[in-house]
Amino acid sequence: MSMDSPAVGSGHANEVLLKQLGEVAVESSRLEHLGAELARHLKIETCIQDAVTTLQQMTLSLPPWSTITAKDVASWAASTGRLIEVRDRMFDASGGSRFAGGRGDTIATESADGTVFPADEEYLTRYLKRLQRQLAAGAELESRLDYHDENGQRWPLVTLYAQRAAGDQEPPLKLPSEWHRWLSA
Amino acid sequence: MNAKSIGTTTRRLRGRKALIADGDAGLGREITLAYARAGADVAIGYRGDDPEEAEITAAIARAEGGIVALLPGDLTDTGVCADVVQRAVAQLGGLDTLVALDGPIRLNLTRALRRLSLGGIRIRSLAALPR
Repeated sequence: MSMDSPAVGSGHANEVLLKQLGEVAVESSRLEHLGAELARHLKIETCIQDAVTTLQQMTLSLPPWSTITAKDVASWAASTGRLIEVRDRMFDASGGSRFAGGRGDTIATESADGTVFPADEEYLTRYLKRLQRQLAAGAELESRLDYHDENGQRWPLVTLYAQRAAGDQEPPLKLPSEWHRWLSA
Repeated sequence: MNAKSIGTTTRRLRGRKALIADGDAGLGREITLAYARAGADVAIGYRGDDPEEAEITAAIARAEGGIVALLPGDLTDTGVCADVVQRAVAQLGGLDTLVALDGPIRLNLTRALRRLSLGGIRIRSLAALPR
């Protein structure tokens, strides 16, 4: 199956669908990258491709200052995983998609596993909104994993880990000693 | 949601580097352009027999301001895949994301990336799409 398969069709409606599928590629990829960032915050060694799955499978240990729970992260990862699965099926099928409408308004898409879903503009718009909501939720989780000092300043954990790993000066945080292990590389 | 406006208002992938296999035409072109609109640097892998489509895609992507690399080669050939990945890493200065919808090509590219990673070439992070 090639991405430039003529089966994808032509016409204005198809141009919109192709644009939307392009955006699906970008937004879902951002979600995977965000999953990997969350994993790094939690000191989990994983690659981007596996991060969302890893977050679902591992017992997560959150920094003591976090205002979210491990369950929040696992739930986010589970719903992200479901969205990524839809994305995978969609792209698996896109090269073989066929037009149901005479003007190419709607395509019925069947993935290799036999799943059929309506990859029309409305469906893709809804799906993109779901991806964007999930991104916003993930960004919120990430923010709430970071340390916020008494002045409300946010200290991104990944940056602090990197400073420590590089042997930089101690970050100017007044943390109880038992919390310092979170900042070690 | 207006599909045409998606991704044009923010540069949310600035600094990211993506290799898009068969990124010259059809859905691959749209994915290439979506990454470029989002601020990413893109490498377009394409079969070398029709450079015109690839050059059109590259011209549109370059207008977004990022780096655009054109990488011709038959990606069904594992040796060519290794070369394409190496050139992508060299021209973009790294690689964050691989987009290859074709299963065998995705497998070839993923293997090439792993070999290069093991060989010491720094691939900062990688998400192959789809998995």
